[in-house]
Amino acid sequence: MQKSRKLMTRGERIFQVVNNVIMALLCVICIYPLWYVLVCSLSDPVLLYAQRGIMVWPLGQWSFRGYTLVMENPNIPIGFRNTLIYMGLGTLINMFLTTTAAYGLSRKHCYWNGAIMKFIAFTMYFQGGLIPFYLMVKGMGLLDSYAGIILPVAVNTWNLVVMRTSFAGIPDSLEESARLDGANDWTILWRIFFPLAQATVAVIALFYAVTWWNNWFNPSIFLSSKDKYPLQLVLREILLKNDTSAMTQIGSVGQSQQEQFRMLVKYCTIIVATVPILVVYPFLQRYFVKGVMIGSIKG
Amino acid sequence: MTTAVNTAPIRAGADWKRFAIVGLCVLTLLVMLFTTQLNAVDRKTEEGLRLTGLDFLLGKTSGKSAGSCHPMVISAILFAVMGIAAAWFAPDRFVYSIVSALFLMVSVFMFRFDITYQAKGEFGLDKDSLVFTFGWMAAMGLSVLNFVMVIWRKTGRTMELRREEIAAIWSNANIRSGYKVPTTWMIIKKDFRQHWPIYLLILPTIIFYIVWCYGPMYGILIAFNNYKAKGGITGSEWVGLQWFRDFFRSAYAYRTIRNTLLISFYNLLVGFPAPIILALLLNEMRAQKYKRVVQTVTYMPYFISLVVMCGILTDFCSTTGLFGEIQKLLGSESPVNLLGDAKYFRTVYVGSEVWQRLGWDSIIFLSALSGIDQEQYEAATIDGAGKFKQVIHVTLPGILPTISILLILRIGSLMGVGYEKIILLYNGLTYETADVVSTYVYRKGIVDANFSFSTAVNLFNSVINFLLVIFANKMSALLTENSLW
Repeated sequence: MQKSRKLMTRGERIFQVVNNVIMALLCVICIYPLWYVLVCSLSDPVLLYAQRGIMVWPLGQWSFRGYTLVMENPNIPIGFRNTLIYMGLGTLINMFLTTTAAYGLSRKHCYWNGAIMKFIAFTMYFQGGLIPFYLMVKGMGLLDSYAGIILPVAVNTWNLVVMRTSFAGIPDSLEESARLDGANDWTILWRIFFPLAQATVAVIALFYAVTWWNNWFNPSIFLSSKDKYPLQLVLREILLKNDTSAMTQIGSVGQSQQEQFRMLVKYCTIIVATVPILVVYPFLQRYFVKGVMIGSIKG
Repeated sequence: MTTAVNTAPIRAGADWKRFAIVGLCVLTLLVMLFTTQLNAVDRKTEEGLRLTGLDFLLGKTSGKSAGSCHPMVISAILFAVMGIAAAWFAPDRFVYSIVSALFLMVSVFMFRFDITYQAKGEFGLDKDSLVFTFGWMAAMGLSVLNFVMVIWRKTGRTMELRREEIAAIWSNANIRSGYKVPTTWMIIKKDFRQHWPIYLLILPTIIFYIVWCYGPMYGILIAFNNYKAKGGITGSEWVGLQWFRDFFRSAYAYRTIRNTLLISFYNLLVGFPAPIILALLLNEMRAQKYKRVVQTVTYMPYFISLVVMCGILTDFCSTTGLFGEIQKLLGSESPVNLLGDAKYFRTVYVGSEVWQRLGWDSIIFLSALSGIDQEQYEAATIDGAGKFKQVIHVTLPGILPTISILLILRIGSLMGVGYEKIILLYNGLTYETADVVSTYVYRKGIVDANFSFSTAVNLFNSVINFLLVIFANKMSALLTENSLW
């Protein structure tokens, strides 16, 4: 390190400094919006409503009142529960279908595999569209049900292709020797291929889980009863639709302060909904990065 | 000794089917253009209407459609020409032949199907005033014949190649005769006996695709009728291409297509180079720990969910939000709500998109950068290249394949602006710049329950999108020998 620094020319040293400053600025730009939301959520709502400016620290006395109000809103725990259901059940189904199909399609010498692959890949480039999809869900009688959210997106073609590529890279000799020992395809898949492709399996499962976490559009058109809403949909009601019914439920706030507290609750909700992901993400970062790489190798 | 011949050139004289295909394409086109395709007699006025395909092409029709050409005639001409070119110049690339024959058939049928319904609405005629003519029957028949011929040629060629391959194997083994060429059916049966457990594993996924991907494709049929829940997908009243005409005659067609293209284009213009620049700068950093921190921090916005992201944006953009405060700081007396003014929508959309994706999109370029051979830098240094010259002559060429393939993919998705974010952000005030095709589909379909119209608009968008993706893929295959399939 020390040596390389000596080798740098004057111009390079200036460049290093400028570059580091640019990066620091970039970090500030990336972090500040969230920091701002966090600071607002801890501020005194009355002061916050009156005037704020560019804030770097909570205004007035730190107040956790907003968080207690968020906790009082029953929709948020329901949202968390439903998202966990969709995520757990959904990812499980996703992974089962993706793994079995990827194993089958990665086998060479199967007459139909090429055709099936084309049949599947075609759906990446051409879809029926929103309304026919909606009519399909409706026709199957799955509107406003958990199954109607999970089943229509049970396989993601891109993930299937990635998984298949990873299975295809496992040497044939392993499969052959297992077959000599009398293993059938089911055993080979779960006892040999699944453990060997563990890294890819983890990445794909993670991608599916994140998709479930972010899922709001399909639920918004398929669900009508609020007790099935995933978290993101609850958030939309609070953050974007100015749903006053959700607000009045928090009660316990005087009529004159409703507006102030509504604002505070928004900030607190954002923090409550984002912190779980942001806490987990640094630990999973390398898997995500790996996922991007895997996806790019065999696009 | 003979070598295995599986790519034997097709002998032109022996392959008469190839010329039959060319002939059938030409004939289909001639019949469609120069014979009477629509023959109608109005029961009340006794007035007759005789139109050839050429009239439809040149817009010499009557009523509301006068002056506009029929899209299916153009598409028939295109696919006929493509079919001729494929048979003539690329006789062994059956994909082109099959696709063009299939779509020639679809175009001719769609043309006939549409003018039947057009007669009613567009020309002011009764549907039962239509009179049979030989012309449209012949055009449809010829297009079917053309398709059959292409398939026939393909199967014949497959068997021929298989026969030659086996003959080569047998003659290599010095056995003159007594072999049997397996038919496709025999191969399928043997394959199924051997591999049925594998197919059983794939089966659930195939069912998924049939039900949830191909099922909705069948539902596209409602783009051509007036869907009512009572009649169902095929039982509702057929209207031909009426919804497409309605869409293109409305002001929304221009507005939504323009917005789609502009938002994509601005997003490409800013969002594409930014991660490359970030990756280059990150790559030049010496302090490794600091670099890792910067990476972690810049990836972070990607993990904010879309709904929360839009919630933050609407709050920031409001007059009392962060951007309002910044406007005040810059000396504005009355800050504007950035999401309440059509002027700023694209800026807000593209800006937030870049903010959220910048770090994440740089990952792929960083990995490409780490793949560059370090010796090249050493060689460049010895040749006297400074840091800047090294970037120009070593680094950029090194990641050029990655850049070009990603750029082509982005171009391929030009018409595919995601509706989710726009639906969350736009409102009546910003429709002028924010309303893209997919959000219009959503509003018309889900909100207004205008199912058929919405599906027609969606189908138009999907087809354009599909063509763009195919084009992009071909380009990337040409440029980098590295395509999606």
